Amino acid sequence: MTTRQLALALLTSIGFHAFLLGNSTFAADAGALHLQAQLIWGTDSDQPTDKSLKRIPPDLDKRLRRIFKWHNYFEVTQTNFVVSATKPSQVDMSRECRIEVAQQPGGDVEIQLFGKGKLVVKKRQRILPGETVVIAGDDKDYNAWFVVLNPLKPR
Amino acid sequence: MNRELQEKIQAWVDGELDASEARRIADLTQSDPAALALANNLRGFREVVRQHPPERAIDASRDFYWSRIRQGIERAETTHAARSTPKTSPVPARWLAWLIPSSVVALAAVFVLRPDSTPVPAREAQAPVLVEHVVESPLEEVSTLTFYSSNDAMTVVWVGPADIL
Repeated sequence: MTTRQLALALLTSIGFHAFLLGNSTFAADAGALHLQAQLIWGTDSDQPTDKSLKRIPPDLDKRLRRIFKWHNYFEVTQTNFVVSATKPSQVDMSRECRIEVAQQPGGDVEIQLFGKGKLVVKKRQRILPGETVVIAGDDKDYNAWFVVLNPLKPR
Repeated sequence: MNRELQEKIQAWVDGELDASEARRIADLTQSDPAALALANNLRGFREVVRQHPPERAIDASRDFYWSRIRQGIERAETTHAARSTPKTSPVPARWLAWLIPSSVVALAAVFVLRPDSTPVPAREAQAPVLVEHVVESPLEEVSTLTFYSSNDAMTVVWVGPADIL
């Protein structure tokens, strides 16, 4: 074997191992679903009762206003999380509200919403990029709550 | 409550029943709490939703509309196939002895280690696809209504009544 062949073999080996290392890191994240969950409070009041709540981003505000009757939407919490292909993820949206998201065979996602420790609703569907899933209901004093799920691009 | 009765109640709420049927459902809501809850929830939902997803007229004939979708899918598949096809370039023969085995190993590694790379069809092709919704609640008093707004790319599940905060 000539020196050139040896050098080429060495380079090929280094490149191959670098490739394997890179792919192994990526493979650990393979099939993971990156999501953002927001708990939003809808009201006709101009100011929320809790002054620390901030207004939701304008584009989401516009979309919610087009569908629902409330004039103002404030974000209670926002969490970015990752759902692996094999293990459900639990996210606390507030002290009483929790969601659990799990990937299902075939690409569907199962979303479970818990309120005060009880399973309230379970929904299964595919979440496509750019699509939003909203689970919502009435709150006291003619207000409403919204749990909004958006897929994120993996980092 | 069976589905037929649920639909009757919905028709009653929407004012679509004849007088005798409407009376029957009205009586039922007086005696059946579940029927009353459903009727109230349907009325509430109608009130909550500012507007129903608008009817959208397709600005093309049905055949043309679907042929555009088919073309969109075919374009996406062609693009995917083109990306998968390796480009050929003149390579000195002695390099092939190294390149071919290393390529085989690299390709094997790609197929073993790559994440799920199922091609996502073009958005144009996804637009008319209806998403199947499965919604369940173990709570007797909770009812749900689901709809999809294509304008806002948003699936909404309205849950009522539920105390989650």
